Amino acid sequence: MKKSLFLYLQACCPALLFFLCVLLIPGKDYAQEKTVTGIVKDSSGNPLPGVRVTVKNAKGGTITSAEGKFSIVVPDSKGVLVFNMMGSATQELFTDGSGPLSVTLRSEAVGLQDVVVVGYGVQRRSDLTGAVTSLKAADITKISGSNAAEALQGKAPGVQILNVGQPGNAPVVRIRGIGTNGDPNPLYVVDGMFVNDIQYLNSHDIASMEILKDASATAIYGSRGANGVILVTTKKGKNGKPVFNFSGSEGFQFLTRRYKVADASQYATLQNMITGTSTYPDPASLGKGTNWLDESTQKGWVRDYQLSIAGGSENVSYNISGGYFKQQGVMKFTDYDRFTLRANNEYRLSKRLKIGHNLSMSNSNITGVGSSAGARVFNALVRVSPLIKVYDDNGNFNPGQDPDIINPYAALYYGKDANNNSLRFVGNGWLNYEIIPGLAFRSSYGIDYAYDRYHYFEPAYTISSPNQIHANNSLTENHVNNKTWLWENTLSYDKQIGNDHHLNLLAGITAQDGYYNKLEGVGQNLAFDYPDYQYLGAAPAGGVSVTSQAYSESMLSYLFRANYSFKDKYLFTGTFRADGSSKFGPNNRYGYFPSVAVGWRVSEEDFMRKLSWVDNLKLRASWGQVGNNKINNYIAYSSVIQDPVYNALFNGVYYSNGTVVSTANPNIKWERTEQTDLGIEFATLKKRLSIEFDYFNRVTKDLLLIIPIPGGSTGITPTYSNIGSIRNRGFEFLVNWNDHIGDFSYGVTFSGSTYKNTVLNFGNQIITGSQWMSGSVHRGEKGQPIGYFYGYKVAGIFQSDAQIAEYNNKNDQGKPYQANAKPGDLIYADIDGDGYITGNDQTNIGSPHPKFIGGLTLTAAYKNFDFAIDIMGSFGAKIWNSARNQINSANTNLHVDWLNAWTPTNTNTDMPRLAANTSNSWGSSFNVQDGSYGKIRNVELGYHLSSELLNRIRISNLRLYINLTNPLYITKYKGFSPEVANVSPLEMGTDFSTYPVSGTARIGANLTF
Amino acid sequence: MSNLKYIFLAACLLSFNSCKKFLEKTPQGVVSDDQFFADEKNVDLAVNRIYGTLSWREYTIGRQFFSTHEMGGEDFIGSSNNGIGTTLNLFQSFTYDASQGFLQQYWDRTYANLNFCNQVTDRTAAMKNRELAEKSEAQAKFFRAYYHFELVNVFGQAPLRDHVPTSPEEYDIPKSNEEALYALIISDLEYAIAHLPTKSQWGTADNGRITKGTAQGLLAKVYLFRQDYAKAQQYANDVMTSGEYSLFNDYRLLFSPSNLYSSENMMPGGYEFTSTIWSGRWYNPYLQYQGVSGEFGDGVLYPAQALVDSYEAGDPRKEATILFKGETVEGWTSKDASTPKDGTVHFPSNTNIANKKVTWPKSYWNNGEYSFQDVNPMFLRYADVLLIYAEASNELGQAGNALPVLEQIRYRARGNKSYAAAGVLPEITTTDKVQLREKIWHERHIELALEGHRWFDLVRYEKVSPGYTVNLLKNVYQRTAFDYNRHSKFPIPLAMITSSQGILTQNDAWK
Repeated sequence: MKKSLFLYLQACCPALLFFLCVLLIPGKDYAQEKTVTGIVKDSSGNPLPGVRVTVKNAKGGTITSAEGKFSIVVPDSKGVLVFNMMGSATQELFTDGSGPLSVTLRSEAVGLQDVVVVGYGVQRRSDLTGAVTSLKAADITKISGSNAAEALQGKAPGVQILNVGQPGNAPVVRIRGIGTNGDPNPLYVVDGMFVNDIQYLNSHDIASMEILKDASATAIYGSRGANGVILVTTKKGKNGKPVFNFSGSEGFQFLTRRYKVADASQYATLQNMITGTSTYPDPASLGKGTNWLDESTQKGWVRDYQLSIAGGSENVSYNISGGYFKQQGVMKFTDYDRFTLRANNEYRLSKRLKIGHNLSMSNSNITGVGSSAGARVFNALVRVSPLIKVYDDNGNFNPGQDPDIINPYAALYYGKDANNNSLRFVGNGWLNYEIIPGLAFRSSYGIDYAYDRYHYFEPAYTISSPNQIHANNSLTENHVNNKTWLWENTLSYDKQIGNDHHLNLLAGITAQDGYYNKLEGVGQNLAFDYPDYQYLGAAPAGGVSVTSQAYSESMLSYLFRANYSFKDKYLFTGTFRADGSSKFGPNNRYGYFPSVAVGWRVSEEDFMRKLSWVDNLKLRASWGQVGNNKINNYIAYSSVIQDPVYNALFNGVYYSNGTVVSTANPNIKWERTEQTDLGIEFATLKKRLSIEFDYFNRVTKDLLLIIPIPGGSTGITPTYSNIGSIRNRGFEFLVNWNDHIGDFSYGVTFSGSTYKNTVLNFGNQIITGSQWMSGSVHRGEKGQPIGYFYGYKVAGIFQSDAQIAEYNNKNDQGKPYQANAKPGDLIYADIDGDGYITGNDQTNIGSPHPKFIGGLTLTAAYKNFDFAIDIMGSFGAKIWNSARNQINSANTNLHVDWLNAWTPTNTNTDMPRLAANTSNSWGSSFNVQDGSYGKIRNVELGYHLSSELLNRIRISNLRLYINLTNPLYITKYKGFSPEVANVSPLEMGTDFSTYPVSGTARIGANLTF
Repeated sequence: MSNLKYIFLAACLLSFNSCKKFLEKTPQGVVSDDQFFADEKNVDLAVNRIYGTLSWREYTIGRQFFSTHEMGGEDFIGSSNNGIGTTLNLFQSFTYDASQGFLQQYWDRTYANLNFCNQVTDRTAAMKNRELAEKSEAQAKFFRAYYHFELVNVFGQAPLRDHVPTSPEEYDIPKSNEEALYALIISDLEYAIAHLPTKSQWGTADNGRITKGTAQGLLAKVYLFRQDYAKAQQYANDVMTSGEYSLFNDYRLLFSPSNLYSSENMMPGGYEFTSTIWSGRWYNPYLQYQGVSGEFGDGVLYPAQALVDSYEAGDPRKEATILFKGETVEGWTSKDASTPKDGTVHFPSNTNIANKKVTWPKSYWNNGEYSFQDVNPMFLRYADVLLIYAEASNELGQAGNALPVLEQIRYRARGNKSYAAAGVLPEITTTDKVQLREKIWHERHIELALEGHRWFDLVRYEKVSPGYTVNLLKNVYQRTAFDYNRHSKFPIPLAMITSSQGILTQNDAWK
């Protein structure tokens, strides 16, 4: 036994260096079997789950629970307990059978922890057969944003995060590419509750986030796991006296990048060029003019406070916290605030029975950008004339110089009262009963209740017709209720059989039921603008329209998992879930999702012992099928649409209507994603260097797709069918280096990932998408990446009439090569080879998918100082820059690049001639730009105040820090921000109405007492 | 342990006994078509949807309408200062191709509307209330004929839809030829004539519905386009003798928002400004694209000088159709600093005229907005039927029948005066078939100017009198790219050809 423990130590997981400290408790002798209970914690008092506890020289054993607790039968009522955690030394402890015991394992390591949370349980990292990335609390709170998922950016290989600039909006999260044409966001599971997003969570409440990527890890989530799963575990109480934790920070947001738009004198120059006149005889005299960007943006204040109290005794533990977060946007009149409350408690009612709850409340407000002109704000910002002032001499808003171009400041101003209030309760209560040692029954009942209210009073105004006019004041009131309950019942059994076999089984039944309803009212012509009298009742009869809608859905699931390890060298995991869903057609009510995985800890083999430099080597492989059920309800049913928009007019009176506009699909079912993953984990140089590498091949079949009806002559809107197939394959790696030189310790983490997205089949159809008004065209088509940009390929610029004539000779039908071509126009490539340009010459002009995403984290600590910097980059993705080439009217301001437009005297340029409504405005590769970027994600410098000083004022820990988030981008992209976050794969990479991503500077303090 | 037993029991009960029920969710907030149409009177609501899309957005009153019905002719010109205007001009210069988006949208909406018709006709056979069934079916069949007739005129050949596809096998079908399309159009209209109430039978509350007379008028037009002049004359005559319709007494006021249901309007549109419905009942595209850029409306397209030049000297219809520079619009205050604020309209540099048929005093502008006027095109009006009668009669060698009817049109145009009294628009007296034909065509052009008839007529004239349209466009208006064989019908949208994978084929002239 001693030898095997020693070998354990040799083979421990690379990034984890736990040293055990042995606590010997003298005891008395008893001559019979006795159950000993206890808790295992790390040096900072956090409970450690997944620690193997065995009795020396005896069979059997157990593993500590998620709360770090264990219960073990000691045969002779006394003996030596052996605590072993992967990657750490073994610790032995004599027991006389009394308890409960408190064991502390001390850690000096930074980086990945030993134990990871997996679906419906925890596992030692060394036992994992799946691809799982973990992020701990310290990494999550470094990011200034409101949504904890932002912390994953550049940190978790295989995860692509695109930040959204608007305060209070969740980032776009994609795990291992895009395997769906629908919503590619992953499933979030917070303390066992399934939620669509984690915007309601306070980042400070999170203990860890686990990203489950391969099928072995996600298949336990069945029909909801195909986009990957992010498990969020919130902080629990610890045994001990109350610990108060206070953290607070204050800072501001700033615009990291600016769009280089022409100032007044440049604008005048451009206007003279575009109109071919001398409307502005002396452009230079006009100076800078109005800087609309400065007028419309601000340094937004950001503040974040949280107070938590955690503690516990033998039978009760608690963690209660309250937080307040406030963020003003970089755009004026936009902000977000959120209050959160949480109580995670646990009660031991008897030796075998524990109950507990995780209760959370949040109340948040998103304010601004609500005006009916809202979607045009960001476009107008870079097109409005700098010769126009925000206000006229009478203090009224000036219109933009063209009906299409609104006054962006005014639009923000009139949107200031748009308020999205979200009140949310997510909580569950659970019960855990240990039937016999190793066999536990757990039942958990949770509720997710969300009440969202949108309230927007928009006053009457007339700035310009038709796009910035609100003839009557209006009030919009939307009320949305969303209620879900989830009841999960699981049995788990953990058994060590002899020294060689370890078995862990899990089986469960879960049921979920959700109900959604929405009431929406719009009133016009309210009697007053008075803020306290903004109710629908204030609108005159006939001035109110009210609609409502509802849906309900339910799921019933059976799940099973087996983990088996032999000699800690050969690992096997098998999972299975059956999901029944009301969303699926009656013919396909149940989906079955299996996975298998194997692991081989090569470094544990005898023949590897000789290679002393190999500290860890593990190979793993997994295969499985997972589903995606993000489809609308009732697709299986043919239904009647009653849309008042199409009411019939008889004798001047509108009459309601109803008809069938779309097809139904009674066979509708989940998308099935089949994923194979091959992984290798390696550690060397005394585990200072660790490397993890994964290859994955993820193929989505039965993709839910609305494909156009071939021929398009039915007049019926097609509905979803399970027809498409998409493949994502690629690799990801994580390299970690940790060391210290005396008092100076440091770490380097380099992560990278890549995926290649290919549409294998879209029912032989081409799917087309575009963002409203943006002019971009995205396609999904066999053999191409989903959402690629479709348009004309630029082959140069016509330099002369002679060259145009030369091109006109390319066909023998006497057709002009390119209609109305003039010198200075872009030359489009003749893709179909017929000698002239038609719609057929459009082709793939770029992919919005990155080729490589990487992150680099450097950490260093010296005495009381700590420092961390995160750098990340995204390479190879293309962006459709809508605004730069939007010249459908001469009345537009432009990017300064246009100062270098082609003219007969300025021919050595890549900018075409400047004129409105020419072929240069067509959707072409001229609009597609390289969106590669490198950025500083985060920099933080912290200082721990010396403890002697603090002890005097009874503070156990005080750390002060300064932090910069997103302070710098390095990119050639000529828009606001190369992070363009559109959820739909068929809008991916279109930069049209993107709220610019901002930087944040903060100072803060963490205080423990 | 006993507690545990109950928990297990509960779990098992939940999982096995009630699981089937648990997963069956009756749709909330939506109604299945079976439930909906089980109540027979709801078929009315499905008929209403057909009417509700008649004047909805771009299709019949916006850019798809202008591009397919007017731009090929000489009456409109797109504004080159405007993206949509520039695109519309592709249809004027005949430089559009099958990938043109307006054609795609036109195709989509036409077939969507055909689906609304078939949703009705597929259900009427099983209905017990035969009166309701026949009335509904007759209205649906009228519109089915109307949209198929549109397809024939726009694309020539197109897939024919006389029922909702019952299985995916019926989704992708080949084109039907003109004969097959016309056979359906004619039988549908015959059914409509047999079963539709007359205008007076419908009564005032149903103003806006199509009538037996509308169906007769449309069938007359269909036969005119088929050059079956005897039948065209017969059905036009049926309308004329029914006494249900008459020429409105004032040509200018005929187009007024106040006179949507005038005695002349046989197929009124259904746009009426509604402040709470922002989609389609808010900005009226028919007006939004017109007006005068910089003042009101977007000025995407304007009447062309060619139209102004086409009027006979002193024709009062010119003043009623064209808003000239220097004219006033009652109640209007110009936005231009140097323009008098007495209703005078400031014109941009690229036009001196605008469409007056859609421009009414500001008192008609809902919410003070030009584009919110309750103006609809008349999809069929009595004057059109009279001109069909006149043309058919002339082609049948019955100039004597044609002339008095033609004079009815001109008499009203003179302000209900004879030539002797008015001194303008001399009475047409020629009985020479060719001469009279051109007089009647001229009258159609002027009487129905800017109302969406010109292009289909020009295409038809070339068939009646070979060389007529080609000469007009190529020689008179110098539109050299025009090729009758190719441009008389629009290409089937490229995306449809591609997605069909060989079943739906492009028109020969566009291959």
